[in-house]
Amino acid sequence: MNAAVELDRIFETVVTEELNKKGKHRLSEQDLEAFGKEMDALRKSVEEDLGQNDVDYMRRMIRLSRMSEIVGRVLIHISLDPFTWMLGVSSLSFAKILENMEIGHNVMHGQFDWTRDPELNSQNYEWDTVCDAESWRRTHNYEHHTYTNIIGKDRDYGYAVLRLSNDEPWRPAHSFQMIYFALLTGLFQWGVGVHEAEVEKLRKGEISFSDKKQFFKEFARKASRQTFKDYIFFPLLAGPFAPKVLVGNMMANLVRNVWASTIIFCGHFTEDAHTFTEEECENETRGHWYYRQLLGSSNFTGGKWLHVLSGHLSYQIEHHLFPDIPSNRYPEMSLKVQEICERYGLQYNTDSFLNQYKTVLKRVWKYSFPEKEAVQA
Amino acid sequence: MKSQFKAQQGGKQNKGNTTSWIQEALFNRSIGSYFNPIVKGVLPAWDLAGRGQLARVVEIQKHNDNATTLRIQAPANWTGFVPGQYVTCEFEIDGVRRKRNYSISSPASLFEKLGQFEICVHRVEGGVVSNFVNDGLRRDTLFAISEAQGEFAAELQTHSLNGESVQRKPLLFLAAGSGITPIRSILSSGQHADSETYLVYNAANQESLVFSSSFKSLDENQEHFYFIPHTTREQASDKRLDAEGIKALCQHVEACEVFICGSNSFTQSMMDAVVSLGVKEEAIHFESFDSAVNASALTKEESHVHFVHSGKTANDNKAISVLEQAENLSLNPKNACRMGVCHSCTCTKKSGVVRNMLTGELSSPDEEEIRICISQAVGDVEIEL
Repeated sequence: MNAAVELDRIFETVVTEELNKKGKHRLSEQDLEAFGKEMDALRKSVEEDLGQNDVDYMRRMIRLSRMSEIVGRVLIHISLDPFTWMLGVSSLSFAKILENMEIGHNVMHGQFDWTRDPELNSQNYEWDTVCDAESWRRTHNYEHHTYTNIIGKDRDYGYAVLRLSNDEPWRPAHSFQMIYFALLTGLFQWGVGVHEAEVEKLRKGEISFSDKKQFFKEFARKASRQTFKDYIFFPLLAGPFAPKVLVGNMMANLVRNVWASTIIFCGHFTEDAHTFTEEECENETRGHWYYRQLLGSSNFTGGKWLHVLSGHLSYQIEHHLFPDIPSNRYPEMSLKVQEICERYGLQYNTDSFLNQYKTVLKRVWKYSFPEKEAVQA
Repeated sequence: MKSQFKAQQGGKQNKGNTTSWIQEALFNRSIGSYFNPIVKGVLPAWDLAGRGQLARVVEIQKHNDNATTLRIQAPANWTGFVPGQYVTCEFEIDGVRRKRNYSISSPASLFEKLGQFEICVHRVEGGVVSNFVNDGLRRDTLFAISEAQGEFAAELQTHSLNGESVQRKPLLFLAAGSGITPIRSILSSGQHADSETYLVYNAANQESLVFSSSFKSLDENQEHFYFIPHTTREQASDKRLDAEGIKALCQHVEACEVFICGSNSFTQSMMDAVVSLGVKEEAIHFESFDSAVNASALTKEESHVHFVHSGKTANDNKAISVLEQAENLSLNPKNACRMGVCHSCTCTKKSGVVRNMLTGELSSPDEEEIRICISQAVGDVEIEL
């Protein structure tokens, strides 16, 4: 090989690596467009292949979740020993996780709108959490998935509580964010439920309570229904054994909260997940939208049931590139996405579940502190 | 056409009373909808999620490569039909639920005896459901049906036509292709009584004349019944039926009550023909259907978007999305991202073809869910807004 060409190649690699280290490997406009076209083509090929298997899979998951909810509640109800009670709590936790992660979240994304089954319609679906489905569709499907990782526009980025990037100025309150993080993890469904209230803006007086009246009404309606179910109706049904059922249901909700928040934090807040500024995304092209979704998300690896219980958010990258493609297709799409990323020299952020979670903790910790002054040469 | 399916129970209906509040609190949906996936494992013919009891295919009879008769066991609570009516059938094909209207072709007696009825499905080029029924459908398939609908031959049922007894009126039936199905039901049920009856049945060739043996036997056994098959593409001399042709087949056509069933274009041309022969408009009864299913066939330069619920129509031909058209008419459909990501603006397209503005692809002409923020009308489109 010609020495000049070889040098050129080395130089190219070094530059690419540098850019990757800084976070963003800038693609040229043409490359972005071509990259977007490849993503569109991948999407189309899967869309055309959707059929009975995909619907049957989702219906199986729904049946499994409903059955384990019934089994769980019955076991908690009839249990006389801690072992049976634990079994019941596990079964109910499993049902809630499956319903929230693999069923509710995916159905509400419109992944099954094409089936025309009203039970699988994104706009009809209501899920088993205090977060009102309609509010979720606004804050998650719209805000988070449209403005993913744009600081200031994606309110899911740190949930307006955590500082996870230097793009956000440090305030003393951020010093305690490890504590907020732990609280958010345990009370996740409530955090998600009040997300749309935009408490941070209320506090600063940017918006008033009357602006959010409608939201609070909807939230109160949903939260009271959920509370009635788990903390009043089923406990009372057990008469004198009410405390056992109450605690069991609380445990199941706690397990689901911890699981859901852990999965979700691994999706965008790992060490190498990038953030974007509003300026970068002005008049964004479709290619750049895909590029941002890719770099802002991170995957983790694991066995089949880890994927199912995470609602296939272990394939967060694929989910963000193709939010309305049925989640059971993400594993096969992931191979193609990786192949495409390799060709364009783009980062594909993936590691084991544990490693990714460690980097999340590291990131929450790191940004508790103010940005270190850049060392001047 | 208005569907008579029972109201689908989604997540957020029936507010107000205590039972429904408790149902929503415990299940986040109706109790039937919650237990349906489990009950279905035991009772597959029940759909507690809103469709009620399902119909079942009990027999499949292929007439030729392009026409198949299905014998269907109606659900126990189905109220029956008047010959000439149709039902809306909803099949799940490769995961997608698709509704089609099919005229009932069997005599009323079959339903009275066995609770069964028949439909005859003709293959339509590019048609998803008709091809599925002709090729892939199996016995015992379960599907949803609506109550019977349609007024095509309601007056025959009452034995009086425009105030006169049926017996005193000659009847002229004009059918083309699958338009024969409701007429088969009417005639095999004996609704024509003893009237002088002419049946002119058009089809491309002899093989496509489905049910012709039963009409031949009527012709042989009933003194005043005349069966006149008419092929349009069998021989070089064949041509489409026109006013002259009708006059030659049926001398006193102007005195007849006329029943026409076929494609829109056939129905229109037959109506024009019999009117020109002196038949009064109130003596014409018709049932027609759209035979075009090819997306490109429905593509037109001029586009009209009809918003069904509001009754408004957008006639602007500009390159804007259906969402923008709706907004220009001051409809306020739910929407958010306006780039096809969030599905907030998803609504039902009843008919017509739209272009996906991101990929440039054309949709099917079927009833389906579309994201109106990235859909552009191509030709005439009906939207449920």
